[in-house]
Order: sequence, then C-alpha cells, then structure tokens
Amino acid sequence: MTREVSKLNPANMITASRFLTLPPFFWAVKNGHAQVAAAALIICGLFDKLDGRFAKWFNCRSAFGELFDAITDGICYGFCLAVVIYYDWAPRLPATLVIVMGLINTGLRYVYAKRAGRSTNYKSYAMERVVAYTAFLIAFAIADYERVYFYWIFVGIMFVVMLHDGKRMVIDAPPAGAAA
Amino acid sequence: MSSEYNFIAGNPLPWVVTVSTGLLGAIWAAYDARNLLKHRTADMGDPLERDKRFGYIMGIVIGLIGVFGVIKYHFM
Repeated sequence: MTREVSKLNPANMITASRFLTLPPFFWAVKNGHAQVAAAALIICGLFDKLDGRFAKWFNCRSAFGELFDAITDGICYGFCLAVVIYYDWAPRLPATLVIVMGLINTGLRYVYAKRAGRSTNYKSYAMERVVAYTAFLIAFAIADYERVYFYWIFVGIMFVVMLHDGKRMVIDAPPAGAAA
Repeated sequence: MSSEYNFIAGNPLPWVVTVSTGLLGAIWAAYDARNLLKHRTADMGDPLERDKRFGYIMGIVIGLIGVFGVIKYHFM
C-alpha cells in the first residue's frame, strides 16, 4: 500500500531552505568576503545531505521530493557557479561549459520524465557524484585552489557522465520501477 | 582574501579545501572501490547494475582527481 505524502513535509522544507543561502553567497562574492561565501556554500551542501536524512527519519520520501531535490541542486549550484564566473573567481570557459551541460542534463531529465509518463527523477549514481564535485568546484573558485585543473577535468568528467546518462534517458527504455 | 567579515584570521580556506578534498577524495575512492568489488559478480545485463558500476567507477576517478589536485597544489 502506498502512503500519501504531503509536499509540505520536513524534508522538502529543508530542501527549500537551501535557497536562503543564495543571497548571502551572492553578497559575499560581490563584496570579496570569501569566508562568508564558503560558509553559505557549506550550509547549502549540509542541507543537501540533511534533507535525505529527514525524509528517512520522518518517513516522508516521495517522487516529488526527489525531483525537487535534484532541481534545487541544479538551481543552487548553477547560481553559485554563475556568480563566481561573473565576478571572475572561476575560469570562464570551462565554468560556462559546466553550466551549459547542466542545462542540457536538466532537459534530458525532463524528456525522461515525459517518457516515463510520470513525475519521476532519473536516478544516476554517476551524476550524484558529479553533483558533489560541483559543490567542491565552487569551493575551489572561492579558495583560488587549482582552478584551471579542477574545472577542465570536471568538464571532461561531466561530458562522459552526460553521454552515459543521456543514452539511458533518451534512447533506452525506462525501467519498470522508474518512479522512486 | 582579507575581509572584515572573516570568521578566522589569515587565509584558512586553502587548508580547509586541502583537508576536505584530500580526505573526502581518498575516502570516496576507497568507498566506491569497495562498492565496485562487492558488485563484481552482479548481473551486467541489468541496466541498474550497469548504472551502479559506472557510478562507482566515476566515484573512484573523481576521488583520485581530488587527491591528485591536492598534491598538485602543495607540491607541484
């Protein structure tokens, strides 16, 4: 028997609260306060881990929650990347390529959801790891830490993962238990 | 970067990044190597199993890239 889960549950609230870290992040980068920017990024990353725990503790896992979490990841990390690019804290070309590939991946996920015929998130073990790398990518920009090395390698990694996931999402048949 | 809003004096961020990237990268690579070993007998005809395997391989690669980046920053 499937349990109806309200969209206004603790896990989704934690996910939504991640958006609150974006204005401080923007302000900190704009004004050159690297430590404040790092703190906002760390809080955003911790809440990303926490929402999954809350979903378990409060037994409020849902397909919407997983999709909302993935969209929030994209918006938060995409916004932070755009900010560090704009203020020249990150190498422009590879960082812009990362954002473009992120947008393409979002489009592929949308196609997958349409093909699966329901609001479902595409579960990708590789992309989960890439998303974690993205958080670090912003940290490398803030700390001025081997930016060129990490950004260009990330472009290669994300391209390979996107090709792999893209094939699964657009060409292969969706698995029977696609809705999480 | 100096700022009146610094929580910690000096420039601790490169060290925070060194510790978090080096440590997490190494743990991550080891964790996914263990996962990969555990799944070595899994049915590769199953798309989900193939997906997991690919994810674990990418996890190992990403972890090692992190560790190498830390070494590059400090020693190269």
